Amino acid sequence: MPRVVAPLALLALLLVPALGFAEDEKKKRKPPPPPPPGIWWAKGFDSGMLQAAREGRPILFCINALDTESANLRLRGQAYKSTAWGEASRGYVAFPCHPGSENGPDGNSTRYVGTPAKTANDALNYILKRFGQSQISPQHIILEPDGDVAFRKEYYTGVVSPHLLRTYLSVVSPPIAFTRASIDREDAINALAEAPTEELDQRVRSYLGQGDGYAGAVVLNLLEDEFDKARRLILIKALEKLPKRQLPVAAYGADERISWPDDEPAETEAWIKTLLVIDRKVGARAAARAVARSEEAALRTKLLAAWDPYGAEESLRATEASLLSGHRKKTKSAPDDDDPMAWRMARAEQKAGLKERRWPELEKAFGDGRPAIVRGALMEADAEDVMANAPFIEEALIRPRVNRVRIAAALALLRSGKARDARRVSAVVINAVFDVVEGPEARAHAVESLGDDPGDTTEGWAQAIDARLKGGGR
Amino acid sequence: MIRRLSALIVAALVIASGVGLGRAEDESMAKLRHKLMFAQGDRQVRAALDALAERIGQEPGFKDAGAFGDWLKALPSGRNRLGPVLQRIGWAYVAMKRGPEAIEPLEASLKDDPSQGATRAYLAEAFRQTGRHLDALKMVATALRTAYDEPHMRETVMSAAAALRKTQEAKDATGLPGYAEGLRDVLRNSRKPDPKLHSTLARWLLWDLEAYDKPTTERGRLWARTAAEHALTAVDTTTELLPASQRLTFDAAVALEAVDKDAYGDSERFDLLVHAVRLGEALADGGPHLIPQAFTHLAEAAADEGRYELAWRLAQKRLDISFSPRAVRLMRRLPPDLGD
Repeated sequence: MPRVVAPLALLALLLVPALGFAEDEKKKRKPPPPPPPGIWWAKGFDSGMLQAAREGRPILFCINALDTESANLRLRGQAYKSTAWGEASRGYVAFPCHPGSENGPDGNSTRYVGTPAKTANDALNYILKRFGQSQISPQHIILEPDGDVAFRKEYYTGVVSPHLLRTYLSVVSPPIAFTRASIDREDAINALAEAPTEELDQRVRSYLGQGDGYAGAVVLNLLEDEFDKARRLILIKALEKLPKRQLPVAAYGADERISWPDDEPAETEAWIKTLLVIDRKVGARAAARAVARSEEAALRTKLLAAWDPYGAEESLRATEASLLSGHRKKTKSAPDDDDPMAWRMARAEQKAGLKERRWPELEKAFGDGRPAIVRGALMEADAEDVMANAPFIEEALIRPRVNRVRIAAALALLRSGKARDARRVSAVVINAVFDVVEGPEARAHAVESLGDDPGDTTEGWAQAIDARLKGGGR
Repeated sequence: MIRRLSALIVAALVIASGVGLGRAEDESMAKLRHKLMFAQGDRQVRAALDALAERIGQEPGFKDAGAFGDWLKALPSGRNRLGPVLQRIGWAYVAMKRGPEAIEPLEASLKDDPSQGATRAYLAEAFRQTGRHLDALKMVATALRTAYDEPHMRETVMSAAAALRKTQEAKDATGLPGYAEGLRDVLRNSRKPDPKLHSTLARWLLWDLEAYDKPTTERGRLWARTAAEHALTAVDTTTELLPASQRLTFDAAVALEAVDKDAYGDSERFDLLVHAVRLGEALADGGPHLIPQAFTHLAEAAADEGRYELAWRLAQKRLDISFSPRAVRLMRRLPPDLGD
């Protein structure tokens, strides 16, 4: 008998927790109630803002602070709760902005069900601090994931609608628009995908003309599953019809081809032509990039030729892009280069909206005192210059705070092979080489001075730097 | 039941030992008093005071430090006006939160020997207990100048500065807020930077800047510059990896934008952003980032300095986290051939 009881007891002991576990699992598997059809408001302000930045979502602020305003009542009572607004806002992180006076006993807003009143209040405070104390209500603001303003319309005139939300999702977050379109426009995508090749261009263009905020994202979805080269070219070309506002979707779709132009030269060319039609500046920039990154002379010539119809400025930009590329790759000369390179470089940088980089002589640079100038001069100074200006550089090495100047000084001294405080030079260089920000550039410069890469240990670097500084330069 | 019993036993033991000690100390108290009354020179006086202070809580007349102070104050023949005795009276009152009573003896003691950093630190705490918060901070600064730097002073400083922030609202300040003015000398005279104090000051300034001013006004710039300086010191002097430090460096860098523009990059902004990115990478350790925007801001600063490769790399890192129109805009400005 005990022989039977013991296994039974053991079985019972094993079964009790297992049954309990099964019960828990059953509870977990029970599906939650369906979410409300309208806008899904973010639960917390800080967590919502972080989610937007991490996931690349636009941020929608629905400023709805006054209780008696009829537009406010209509928006919160009808629009925000509707399926249309709900679906169009799914790609966003959305906040109601309200003083939070309608608190339920659980701390949730009774106005925006399920939203903590604190979140609505925090969102309103953020808006008030950022855009001024007298906010017109109702109004809507859309921010980019990094916080820049994408859209703001004071007072509600009916402009803000599900259509506008879809369009701005395409503008601000093409990857999210791409995903939303695959869900919300599944039927349209399937229908277009089944179109015969001879009708494809006309049907896609017609769809693009219908004013859908996800139009560009629909075509990107088609491209995603299209492997026929001819049909792909048709789709890319048809995007010429894309409303200009949705340009970021096309630029996003083109990026891979433009950055690696030689992988699919025909597609690269098609994308550039399409972008040039939608927006000349963005198209010119894409072409400049493709020209600069292509290793194929034939493609470069073709792309340069493709620019001709678009005016002198873009063509010039293309030529300069190729020159800039030649200069940066340390090619001494580039074809058709009649102007001095420095001048052309400056002009190309100016055109790109960048500050002109002309590092003065070291002594002048130190007199200037601007970290960018000093650093730039130090990084470009040759060993002789460094030795001639050693006192300045030794001083820069111990200058507090401006770390990038300190690093540049240490690298310059390493280049010259002479340093009064070799230990400090070694410490600064090693720190820089293994730093997540300064690392790649510092390593490249240091390796140039040392001759070989000492590898991935600090000891190796310390020895190599020590040998270089003790040897007094090469 | 067992707990109650053990408590009773412990109480009985304590009482028994107290009674035993008391009897032995009655004799020694008289001796100790005698020693103090006839001590020659500061050294002997201090030794006698130390021995007496050990009896606090053990003698019926010394039930706490305050009673000890009262006892010292009542000493005859001018003994109660000796510098070390005055200092000890002040210490005793401060320890019992009787700040107002501690001020007079401590000030008198300082007159006797201004080099006593400890006296200055006690006086600072006495001021704080009396509600004289700015005087407290100033006094701590003078204590630090004498090279007296003990952990208890930090509590005085933090409490006084926090109280000052409440009583003298930053919005009414013409220059730096009162607490920042008060802390400036304290931090300047500290031999070893206190990262927590520096970061607290920077954080308060940034909060007040956000609440009462803008980084573009003259006063706002001053607050932003000061916050940046302290934020950088805070992260430069600690190896601790804290999300709060990353947020602090990033916020300080953002607040410093206008100043940096005017100074052509000669500000702490770039280095603050480097710290924000560096801390972000270390904190995320392959996981999600707390401030993805830090990459974009540093990328822009790098581009402005002509460091295009760095700018590109950072913008690309931002895009690796998620799509960012700001990063894309920056990349369009960079030389077109960049990238792997």
